Amino acid sequence: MKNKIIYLFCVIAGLLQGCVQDVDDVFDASASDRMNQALKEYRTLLSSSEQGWLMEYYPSDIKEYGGYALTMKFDAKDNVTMGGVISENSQEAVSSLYSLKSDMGPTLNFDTYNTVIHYFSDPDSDLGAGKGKAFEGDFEFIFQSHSQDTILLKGKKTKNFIRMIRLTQSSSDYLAGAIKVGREIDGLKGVLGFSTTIGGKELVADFVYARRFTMTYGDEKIDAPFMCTTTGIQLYEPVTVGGKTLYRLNWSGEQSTLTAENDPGIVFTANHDPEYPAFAQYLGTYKMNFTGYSGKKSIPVELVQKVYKQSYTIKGMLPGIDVIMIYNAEEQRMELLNQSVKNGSGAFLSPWNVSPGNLEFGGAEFAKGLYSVLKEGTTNTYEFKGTAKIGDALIRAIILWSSAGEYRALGESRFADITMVKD
Amino acid sequence: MKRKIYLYIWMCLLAGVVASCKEDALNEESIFVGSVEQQNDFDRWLVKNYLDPYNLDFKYRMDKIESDASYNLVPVDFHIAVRLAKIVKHVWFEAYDEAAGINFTRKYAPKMIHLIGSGQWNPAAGTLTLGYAEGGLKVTLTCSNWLNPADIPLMNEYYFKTMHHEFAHILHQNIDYPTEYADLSKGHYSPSGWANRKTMAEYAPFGYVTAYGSSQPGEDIAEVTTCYLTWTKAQWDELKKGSKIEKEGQPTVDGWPIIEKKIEIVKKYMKEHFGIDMEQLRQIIERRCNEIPELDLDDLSN
Repeated sequence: MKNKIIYLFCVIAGLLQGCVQDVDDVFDASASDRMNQALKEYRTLLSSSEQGWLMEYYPSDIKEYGGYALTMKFDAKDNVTMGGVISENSQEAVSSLYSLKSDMGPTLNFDTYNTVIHYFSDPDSDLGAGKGKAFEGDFEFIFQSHSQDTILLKGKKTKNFIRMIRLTQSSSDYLAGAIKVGREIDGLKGVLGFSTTIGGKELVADFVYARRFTMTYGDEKIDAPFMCTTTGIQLYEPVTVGGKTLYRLNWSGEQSTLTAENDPGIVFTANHDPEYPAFAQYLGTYKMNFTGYSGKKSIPVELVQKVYKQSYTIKGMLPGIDVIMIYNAEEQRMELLNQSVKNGSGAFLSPWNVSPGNLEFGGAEFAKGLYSVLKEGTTNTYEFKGTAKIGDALIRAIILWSSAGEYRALGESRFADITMVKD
Repeated sequence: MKRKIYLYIWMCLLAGVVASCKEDALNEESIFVGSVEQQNDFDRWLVKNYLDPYNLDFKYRMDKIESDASYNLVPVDFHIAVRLAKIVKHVWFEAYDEAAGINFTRKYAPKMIHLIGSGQWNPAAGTLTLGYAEGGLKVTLTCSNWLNPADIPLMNEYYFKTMHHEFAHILHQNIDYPTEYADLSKGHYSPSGWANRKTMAEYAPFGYVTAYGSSQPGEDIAEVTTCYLTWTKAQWDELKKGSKIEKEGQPTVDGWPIIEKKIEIVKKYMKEHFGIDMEQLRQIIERRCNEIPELDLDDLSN
């Protein structure tokens, strides 16, 4: 009898158990319904901004190249129009498609080509890390959170946090401002970075890329990628040193200073490279006087920077072809040395002693040639003297030479007893 | 008593089973959330010109799921995608329609074309993967952003060669090619070493039209087919010259008769099994390539 009751319970238990089939839902709608709803909301939010959005874009998983302002205006039909600081054209407006999808959460994808954003990820490009890589930026993002005016995204590939902010001014106004600040910062000559004092200790921010600092504060080293805004720069994430938090810094073009937006007492001043003036003194336009193939000649040339503190490009010496002038930092002088003519002809600018007429053709580039000496009693006239002898005579000239003999295809082929007079 | 215990246990189980038999109606909505993409004029054109006639999904909006995540790739430009879709239809799909009838194309053509804008660079090797296909159903065309409708050899190399090649595989999967084909260059196939055969002298004398063709017989016959359909006379002349090696004191090696024999087998196979005259198809393709300048490549109205 006792057993019977137990078995009866068994039966009832079985029945009861079978009845309770549903677990109460935590949410009112299914996961897919909620995802669809989220995507719809994001579409509405994105297309709700009349002026569009600012995207604070950082390519590369280590944010190697710093950040760039992009603007985006969305409509509800998958169209997006973008502009950006890279083109330096504030009116830029390039259209393409975007999509909202669900994988790894709701995602925002720029799935047809747009020169503004795909500039950072196009593997056909030779820029950044080169073919196959470019700047290794994202064009697919996962939504992280949002408010009415801010959307936080995460790059699918880089995992960088990318923020979008509702624009309250036109895209072209915003870009014009950010491009201007960027140009001014890029235009700084011989500036290694900035420094300021916090808590009695120096904080130094050295450029490691045009949009990236390494900050040094005592023993601390902080990687600080940044982007240019309309008012100055903004770091990828706030940096706290000596109890002060730095995030947005206002730029002054007149004074070349950066001032913490949240603390006007923190002013960064530019650090000038002490070796820069010696290098920079040779930049500019000259009259180049020399004895050419058929007598004395004077031509205008310009020296522009090639590699910082290492070399210049001479424009105007050979038609359409850049000639390299080396900067010798130790001697603080210009050097015009043997080098190949950069037109694929196989010809060389070859050191030459004029008479008896020996020259040295080819060989290692930038080994021999002429160096500059400031002419006594002048402040702007440089005479070019030989660095070595060929045969018994000192080099006095350079001559264009190819394996077939004197290379005459560029008009002038001989440059003897050169002097350069700075304008 | 023991019997009774069994009976009760039996009842218990039965009760459980009965209770759990009740079933909810299936939710009509899929749990897989697709994208909520909007249809544009091009999408409507694609439905009319690819989906309806060929049951083909022409994917121009880049989808990472459909592409190889280990590469850095970018999407195709919208306007270039429109032009490429029109060119591929005219030069590829309609060429087979014309040569063998639309039902043939419908039956055997791939079911998805996916466009990638950039090249697929292999940074370590410094090489570029052009198009590729998976299982004959999906063809991926890379380098789409390089499209130049005036440059037919470039389009052949980057887009059409891949499509004819993969299409040949599909046909071979349906009806196997003659086994005698594999004997023609027997002993010279190298499934992994083909990539090192960089000059014509390393493959043509053995009867291969391309280095890739020397990897295995299946690739070989697909390469012969695609080259037959896309190569110019100059390319064939060059191959013919390169397939013969004469060295003093050594027997002359000539791959050309082998290549001719391979072409013959391909022609016979296509004619017998699919009723396709290869020479006629080649002429149709050539004619259609030359018609590209007359097409309005941006017009989506029909």
